[in-house]
Amino acid sequence: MGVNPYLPIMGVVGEIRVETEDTKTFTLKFLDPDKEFYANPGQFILVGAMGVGEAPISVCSPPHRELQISVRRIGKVTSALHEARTGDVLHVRGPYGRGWPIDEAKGKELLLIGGGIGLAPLRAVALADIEARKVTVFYGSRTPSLLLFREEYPAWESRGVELDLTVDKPEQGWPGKVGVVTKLLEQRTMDVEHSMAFVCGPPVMIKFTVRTLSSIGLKPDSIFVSLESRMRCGIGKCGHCHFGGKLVCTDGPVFSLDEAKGLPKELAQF
Amino acid sequence: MVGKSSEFSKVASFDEARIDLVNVLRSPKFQLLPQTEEMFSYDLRSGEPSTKPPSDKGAIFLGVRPCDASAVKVLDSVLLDGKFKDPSYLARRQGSLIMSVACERFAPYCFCKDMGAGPVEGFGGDISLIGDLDVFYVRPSSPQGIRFIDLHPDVFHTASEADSDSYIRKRSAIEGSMRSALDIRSSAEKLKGAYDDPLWSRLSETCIGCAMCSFFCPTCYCFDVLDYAKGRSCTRFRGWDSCSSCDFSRMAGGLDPRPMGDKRFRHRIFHKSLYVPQTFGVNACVGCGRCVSLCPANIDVREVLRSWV
Repeated sequence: MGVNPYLPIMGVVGEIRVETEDTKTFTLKFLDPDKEFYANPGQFILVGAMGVGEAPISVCSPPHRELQISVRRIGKVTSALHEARTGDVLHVRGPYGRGWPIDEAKGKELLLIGGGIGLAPLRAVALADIEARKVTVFYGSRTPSLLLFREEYPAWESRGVELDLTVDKPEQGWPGKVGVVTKLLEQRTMDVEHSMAFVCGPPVMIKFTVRTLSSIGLKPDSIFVSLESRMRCGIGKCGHCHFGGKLVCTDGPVFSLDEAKGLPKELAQF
Repeated sequence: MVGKSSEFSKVASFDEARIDLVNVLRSPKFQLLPQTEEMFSYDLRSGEPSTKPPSDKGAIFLGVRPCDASAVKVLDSVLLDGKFKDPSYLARRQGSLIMSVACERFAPYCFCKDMGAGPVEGFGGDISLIGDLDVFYVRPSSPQGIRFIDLHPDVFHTASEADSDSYIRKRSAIEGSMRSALDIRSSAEKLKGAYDDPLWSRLSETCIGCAMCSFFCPTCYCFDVLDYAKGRSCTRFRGWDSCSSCDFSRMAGGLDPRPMGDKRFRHRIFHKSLYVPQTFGVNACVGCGRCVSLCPANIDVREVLRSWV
């Protein structure tokens, strides 16, 4: 009768890294050693905590590497996931959805613009082998201690990824910039004709980032956003993420700005 | 009237069936996509899932109204089309045959004709019938329907020319006897520009968000998923959900694209008239009128749609 798409497979928790006060990064190995798993950067998986349920979480590791997810403790499932220890079994389904169009970034200046936990699916791009001319990460968080993947930044830079960070509220000793992420973009001169932007963060951050990108001259077909919605099934059946003729789970979560402009304002405002 | 608590159930003989109802209260959705259903169980330690073969393998649904037969097509489009197929729905649907019977009586809330879903044939089902208990004129509308007719030569006879003539007469008589009040295409077109209309807050004012409309709607398919742990194992259930309910779109952390009732009300109308057609190529309202007749606040979806015509 074919595969049952609702059945998860077993993932075993490997390394757990505490990123911030509310976010941990988990490395997952599959119980079945023959399991082939390939996620395009920007795709997500449904992660299940035993006895609690599933939540959609972006894959934050690049293709051909061990599967990693960064989980912010925000609800029932993610709180349960935070209790997981190395060796525990979690459920995994996926990868699902349409990720970032990394092939289109070939030869271009790629701007990865993240807010808060929104950096997770962009990390998968920053660490992937892509043929962009240049990759710059613009990242903002509320405070310096909430910046994700801090200890990796030197490694990103040695890969040639440039980092431009900002925080809303500085803490003592923060030498960096203060302000919203759009300010970082405004301060730059860039080759807008040959630039491409991937944006992920809270809705208000996405809205203003897109506005800034458009005003500095990026074309709508060069701007891509990753949107978030409640979802249950991940495969277009349960109806929760259906907005304006698009399913966030299967048509998204990454949309071009043109596509996103066609979505109802309740989901995304541009 | 919609029969009080009426539903499809297994009968041993034709005499047990009620054939005097304009329509049943509970559409075939209640069997094909049950209100709650076990998806699978899993061991809480190992995580290993185990499935049980579906207890209900489908049935012949005889006497489905054309609106409800069309509704099955909506469920098919969502649950079976595309890359992923819903396994338990597929099993029940493959084991089922939808035989619709043309309506010759209509209730005040019936508007299938406006939706292109009746009153003679809808856009779904496997076999459609017109007639009464003495003789039915039969038309197969799917490969399964053709196969079923071929397999039962003792029941089905090839129509004579006279039969065909009286079929056509009967058909046009039925079609002519039902009024059409709403042009669905133009109303869907008008809805596209009505997203920001302040009228939504007035239209939705009396909606109490009870989700009665969704539960009895023959096409509403949205479901929620819940894990129920007991002892060393956990069962994952799914159950109908409704976009009229206040937490349908609320995400962990509280962010909700539709925090207010008027937005949820608008979404339900948009989903039926625009989003499902755009995504799945089928109109998600079949004009059965259950939502009209059952709404405790007397909200009439036809009046809502007429607001912009």
